[in-house]
Amino acid sequence: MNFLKRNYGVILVGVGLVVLYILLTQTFNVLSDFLFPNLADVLKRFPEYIGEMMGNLWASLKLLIVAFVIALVLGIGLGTLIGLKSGLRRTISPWITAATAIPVPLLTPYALNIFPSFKWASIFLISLAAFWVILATTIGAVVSIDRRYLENAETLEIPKMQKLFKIILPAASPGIFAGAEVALTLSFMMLAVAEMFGARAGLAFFVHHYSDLARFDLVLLGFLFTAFWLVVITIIFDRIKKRSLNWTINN
Amino acid sequence: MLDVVVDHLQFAYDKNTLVLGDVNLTANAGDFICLLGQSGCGKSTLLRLLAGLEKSDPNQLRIGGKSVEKPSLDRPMVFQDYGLFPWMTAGENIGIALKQKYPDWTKEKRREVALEWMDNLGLEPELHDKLPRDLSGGQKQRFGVARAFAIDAPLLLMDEPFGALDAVTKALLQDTVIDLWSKEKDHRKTIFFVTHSVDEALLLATDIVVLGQAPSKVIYTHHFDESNKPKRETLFTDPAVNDLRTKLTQIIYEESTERARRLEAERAAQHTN
Repeated sequence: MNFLKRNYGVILVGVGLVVLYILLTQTFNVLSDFLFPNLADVLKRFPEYIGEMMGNLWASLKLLIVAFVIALVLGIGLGTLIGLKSGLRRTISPWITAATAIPVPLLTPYALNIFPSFKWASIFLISLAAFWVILATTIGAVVSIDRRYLENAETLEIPKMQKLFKIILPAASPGIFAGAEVALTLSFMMLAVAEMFGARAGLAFFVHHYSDLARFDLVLLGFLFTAFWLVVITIIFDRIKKRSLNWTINN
Repeated sequence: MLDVVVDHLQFAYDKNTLVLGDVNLTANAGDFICLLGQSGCGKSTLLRLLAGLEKSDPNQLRIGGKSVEKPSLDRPMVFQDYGLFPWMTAGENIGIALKQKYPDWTKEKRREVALEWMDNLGLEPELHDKLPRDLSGGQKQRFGVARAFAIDAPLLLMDEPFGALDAVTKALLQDTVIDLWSKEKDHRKTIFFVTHSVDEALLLATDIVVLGQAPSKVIYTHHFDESNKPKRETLFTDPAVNDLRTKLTQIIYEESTERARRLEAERAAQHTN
C-alpha cells in the first residue's frame, strides 16, 4: 500500500502510456499493427520466451557488470590521482578532452579486430564509454573538494591512505556518483551497440535477432523486458547512491 | 603549554600583497591570547601560520622553541564553520582525531573518551551517532571544541569559533571553554583565539593583542593578571573593564579611519599622476 502511495505518479504515467499505445494502435489504427502489435498478444508470448530472455539477460549482465566495474575502478583511481596532482592534471587534461571527443561506437571495428573474443571487445567498448565520464567527473569532484576538509585533515595529521579513503573519496563522492550515473546510462547504450555486432546472446541481440525475423511482437516483448531490467538496475544504483550520500543536505 | 614567539613576522599570499607587515608577540605557556582587529587585518592568517597551514620564515615564528614546518596534532584548530567532516557521525569526528593521537586505543576506548568529552561539552550521548547535518550550529561547534580538547594538545588555535552562533549559545560555549581551560591549572593549554568582538576578548583573554590593518603589526596589547581578569558578572559593570572596552574600540576605530584616509590619499595621488 505504501509502495502504491509513494509511486502513484510513476504508475499513473505508465498506465497513461499503455492507454496511449492502445489508442494509437487498436482504437484509431494510427500506427501499423505489424510494427506495433496488440499489447495483449505480446504479453501472451511472455511465458513461452521468459527462459530465452532470462538467458539473454544473464549474458548482458555479465558484460555490463564486468565492464562497469572496470570503468569504475580505473575511472575513480586515475581520476583521483589526476585530480590531486596539479602538474599531472595540466599535462594530461588536454589529451583527456581530445580522447573523449572520439565517439566510442566508432572504435567497434578496431575493438573486434584487436581483442581475442567478442566478449572482451564488448567489455572494452562498454568500459571505455563509461570510463571517460567517470574519469572526467572524478577529476572535477576531487579538484573542487572544499579546501577546509583537506586542511582539517592536515591539522589532524591523517596519514595519506586514510586521508584518501576517509576524506578525499567521501568528499568527492557526490560528484563521482553523478558521473557514475551518467556512465551507467552510457553503458546501457554501448551494451546495445556491442550486442548488435556479432553477439550470440544478450538482450539487444534478442531484439535484433527477432527484428531480422520480422517478429515485432517479440521485439516489443524484448523492449519491455529490457526496459524493466534497466529500471531495476537504475533503482538499485539510486538506492546505493542515496545510502552513500545520506550525509548531504539534499538527501 | 607551549611558548610561542612571533619575531618580526612578515607574510604575503602573493608578491604584491603583504598581509602581515611586522608582527611581534610572545605568548607564554598557558596564556589565552585573543587576537582582535578588523576584518582583513590578518588575524586568521596569523592563526594559519601558527597551525602550519601557511609557510612562514622559520626564524620569524617559533613554537616551543621549534620552527613550524607543517600542521600538527599538537596544534589543532577549531574553525568558525565547525570543521566537522559531514560524512562521518559527530562521534566519529572526535574518534578520528583520537585515533591519530592515540593509535593504540581500541575503538571502544575511543568511543568512551569521545562520550566523556561530549559530556564535558554538555552534549547528549545520543548525538554521538548523529550526522553533523542533523545537529544545530551550537551542537556542531561543541563537537568541534570537544575534538580539539579531547586530543589534549598543548596549543589550541580557535578561528572565530563562536562567530556564527546566537548570543545565548555563544555565551554558554565561552563559559565552557573558559572552564575547560581554567581547570587544567598548571597544565593549561596555550590558546590563540581570533575574534571581532571586544567583549568576547575581554571575557576570555589573559592577553589581548590588537592587530592593525594590513600589512598588519601589533598596535596594542593588554595583559590581565589572574586577579583582575574580567568575569561575566562584572563585564559591563566594572568601570576598569568599561574603560578598557572603550579604549580598545577607539584604537580599532582610529586605526581603520586612519587607513581609510591613507588609501584615499594614495588614490588621489595616483589620480593626479
